[in-house]
Amino acid sequence: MSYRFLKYFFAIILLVYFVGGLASRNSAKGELYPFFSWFLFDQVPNEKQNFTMRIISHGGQRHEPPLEFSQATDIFRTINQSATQYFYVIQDLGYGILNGNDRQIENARERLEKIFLGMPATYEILQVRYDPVQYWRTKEFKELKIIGVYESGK
Amino acid sequence: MNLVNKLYNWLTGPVSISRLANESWSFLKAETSVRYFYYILLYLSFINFQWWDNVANRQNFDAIWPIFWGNGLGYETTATVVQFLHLATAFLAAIFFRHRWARFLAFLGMSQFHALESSFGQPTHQWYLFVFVSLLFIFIPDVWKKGKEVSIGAKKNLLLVFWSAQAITFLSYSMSGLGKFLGAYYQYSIGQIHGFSPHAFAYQIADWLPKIQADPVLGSFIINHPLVGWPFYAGIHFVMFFALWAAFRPSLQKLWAFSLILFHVGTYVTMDISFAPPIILLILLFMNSPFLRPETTVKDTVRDFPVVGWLLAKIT
Repeated sequence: MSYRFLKYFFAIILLVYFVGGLASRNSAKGELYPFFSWFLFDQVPNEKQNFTMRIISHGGQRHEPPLEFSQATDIFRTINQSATQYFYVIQDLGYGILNGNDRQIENARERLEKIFLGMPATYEILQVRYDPVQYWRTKEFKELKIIGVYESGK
Repeated sequence: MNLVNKLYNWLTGPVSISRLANESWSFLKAETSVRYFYYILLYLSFINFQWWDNVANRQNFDAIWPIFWGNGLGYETTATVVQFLHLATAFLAAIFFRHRWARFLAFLGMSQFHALESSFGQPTHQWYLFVFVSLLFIFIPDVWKKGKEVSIGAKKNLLLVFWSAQAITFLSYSMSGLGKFLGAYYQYSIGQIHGFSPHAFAYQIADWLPKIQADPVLGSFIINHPLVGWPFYAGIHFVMFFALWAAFRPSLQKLWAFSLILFHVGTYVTMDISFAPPIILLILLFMNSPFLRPETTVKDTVRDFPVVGWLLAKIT
């Protein structure tokens, strides 16, 4: 391969990498493998409204008070996966409930309930509003609304 | 056209491959770094292989297109095949790196491993750069022919491939920096806490830690003392945004690589984000850069520094 050919070839690769990466932000998941914008933590989370999960019971054990998603470390350690992956599944489920989209609910529940590894579990989905620093300090949401209660596998 | 040429020469002058191809030290550095890339890839593939337990019990496997064949086989079988492939191809490349077929296999093994890691709903970002650099390294000419003088053409191609690997690495950081600047501008314009606010870092950490259920060593400290983290957080916008500029200015490459490594260390101790593979890549590509002339001085670094160097050049 000539030097001249390679020079143009690599210039095009870099250009496609850049443009493809930025364009992939408009895809459904925000990235289109292998293109990625690298826009990680590009905005500072101010007061937020999103969804979370609380586990009421799991594997025959009742949690009093219900175990908040951010505290359920053992569950994610058992399946060797990052809790962040399931944070987005919870968001899918929350939006599905709000929009009354049964298919989205079913799909998100199927993915989410795999974390229980077939054990019976009851959990609730909450719509919450919080200030990240205040929540980190107090573990209290500014607003909290239970929008769904589910039993795994049912 | 004259202006375009002038601009091109101004931008690429310090990394003039035609000139550097005549310098034996430059060739030697590039050749050594490529060689070590494959040795280290072997080490990393073994580390990944060793963490075999980490693949057990994972849920929601949904193979992305590079491992389309995995959906039919199921997760356990796919993971076994990919782990062995990754290790075997890295082994071959560490021995036969002078051959293009071995470098192609190393890319294949690396990309299959990355695809496996990315097949749980979200791509894994920390291996992206290894995939792209191993792809670019396929194009390295054979500069290891025993008993034969390496031609200038082959040396030029080696340096070009090496620079492209440097460029795609730094470009990725620049894209991240671009996102941060755009995000900061947007949030500033609507009156929110933005990337340059004194409390920005504390908010990022406080929002992130509950999501990953972690308590890193300095996370709480920065949330409680946001002003300590502020200069680092604001400064990283600058370092990241101008990373691509450092690809064109070899006098900055080590400094930028160290700054970005420090950034990765910082995100680990404050946010528990482990981005270890890019650190090894930054070391391999920039600590022994074939574009950094031995006679480079601190004055050269200051002159090449983005914004500050430009301003100084105007004044002096």
